[in-house]
Amino acid sequence: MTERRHYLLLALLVLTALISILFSLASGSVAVSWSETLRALSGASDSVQAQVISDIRLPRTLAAFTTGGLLAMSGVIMQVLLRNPLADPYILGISGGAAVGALSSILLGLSGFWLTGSAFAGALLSIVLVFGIANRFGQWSVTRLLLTGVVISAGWGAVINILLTTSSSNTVQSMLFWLMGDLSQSQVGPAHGALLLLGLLGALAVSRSLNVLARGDLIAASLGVNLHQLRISLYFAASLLTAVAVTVAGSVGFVGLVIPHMLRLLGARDHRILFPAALLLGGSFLVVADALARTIIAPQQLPVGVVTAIIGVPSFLVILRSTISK
Amino acid sequence: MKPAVLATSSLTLELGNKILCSDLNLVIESGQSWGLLGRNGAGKTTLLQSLMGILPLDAGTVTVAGNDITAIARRELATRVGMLFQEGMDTLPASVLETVMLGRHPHNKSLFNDTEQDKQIALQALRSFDLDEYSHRKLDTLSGGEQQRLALAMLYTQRPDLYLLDEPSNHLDVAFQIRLLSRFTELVKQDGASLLMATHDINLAARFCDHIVLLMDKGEHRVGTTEEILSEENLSLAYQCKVRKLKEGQMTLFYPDQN
Repeated sequence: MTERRHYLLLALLVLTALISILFSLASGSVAVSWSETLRALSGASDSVQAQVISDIRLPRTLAAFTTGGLLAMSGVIMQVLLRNPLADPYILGISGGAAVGALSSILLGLSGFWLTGSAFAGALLSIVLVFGIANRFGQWSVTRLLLTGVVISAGWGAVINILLTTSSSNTVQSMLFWLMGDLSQSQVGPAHGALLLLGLLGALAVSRSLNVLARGDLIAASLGVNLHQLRISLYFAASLLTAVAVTVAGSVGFVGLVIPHMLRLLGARDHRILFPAALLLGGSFLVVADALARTIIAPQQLPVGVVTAIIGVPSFLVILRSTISK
Repeated sequence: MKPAVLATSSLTLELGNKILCSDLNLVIESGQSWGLLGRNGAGKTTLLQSLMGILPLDAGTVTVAGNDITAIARRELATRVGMLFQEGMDTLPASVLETVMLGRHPHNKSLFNDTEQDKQIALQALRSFDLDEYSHRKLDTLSGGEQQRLALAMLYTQRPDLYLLDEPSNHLDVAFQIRLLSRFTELVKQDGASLLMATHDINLAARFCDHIVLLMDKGEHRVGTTEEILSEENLSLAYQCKVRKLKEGQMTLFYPDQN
């Protein structure tokens, strides 16, 4: 590793993260200048705008950053674990389980703690269910895990559709927002930040082994990787990161799939770089997407999941194109 | 006396109901190069993967440098035995240099950093297999033959005491087969290491190997020097097809007769 361009990339991403956070704090239905934003952050101002920033926008921006970081790291892990470029954090049904939990509580008119709690419980249920079934018949293979996850995911999809079609139209509205990913109700605390950091540290600790695993199971085994143990840890780590992200913001699409690929195309293929880079870019990406979601049709808000796709699709295609022509 | 690089004792392998080999006793000493021959489905790949500790043994033991492989930590084993596989490595993107460096994985104790020495070993392996100008190329831009060279370079970077090669001539044209395998066997000899290569090409085994394991039907096998084992009689029995031997100067050629 230790190539200069890797450090350059990380430095650029740190800068991107800072700028996107400032951008997010400054934008909204009340526009605030960047200098006023900085003053509000330093606590030197007690204007109304400063209060809007510290009480409303800052928590939401932190929630967006955390969620984006969790999803992007989880996406990296899932893609290596399943050795499938199409894998994303939701492929094994975690978001489906969470959605059924969340939608059920919306249907019952619950919100706040009950909503997030039931989403998290749904996600955990799905994790255990998929692992249990995939593990049940002895030999645990990646193909079996993938198939089990996809099938369970389809099952959740059916339940979600039942909930949607049988609900009244105003609950359907909030259900759809949840399904598309929405940060307007999101809150994160120190525990989320700690998970993000722990996730990163854990990922860095196994990133050499992941570099080997990315070349194939047999090669990894022959190079001394304990496959069984590594795969199980990866499955549960990625699942936990996803479950927490989904609990915070609903199933925000696109981040976990595309951010890892963007970074690989930009040269961050080594997992020792890819994980911190994914955390930074995933976080920044969701922060910017959420800022736009709040402002594009202000005072109305779009679900952030819509915006991630709208800005993610073209920017991914541009990167894909520019790296092919090299 | 130094224990053998690898030894099997009464090794039995089965796949489904089929016995691939039974009661196989094999002793590979350092500096030897072994060929592993047998029909399609005879169990060549399974045997190699079992020796690597990837597949379970049905009976018997495998020892590496005198220690039972089930008692050696995976990482420690990987410093002693390395293997070339037939599977491709290019599902997720990586560069040639990054891939070759992976061969140092079992040797590197650091969680995070690569050592300068590891990097030098990797670069040297790239040079040995004419890949030094490819070091920044992406895997998915390589041809089949280039990927095979890369896989060999990565394996050589691992520097085990025993190299297990599964069909090393895959994707290589005749000229490259001879050139690369000569180079590879030379490097292995020079380091005092040993190799065992599974191949469907009898002539390749005859050319590069001093010992042969020949897998036959119903778990039977022949083990011995190339001279002893590669007879018309043994080969015809193993392949269930008339195989003839032709002496042409220094070279011995084997070819299938009609029927």
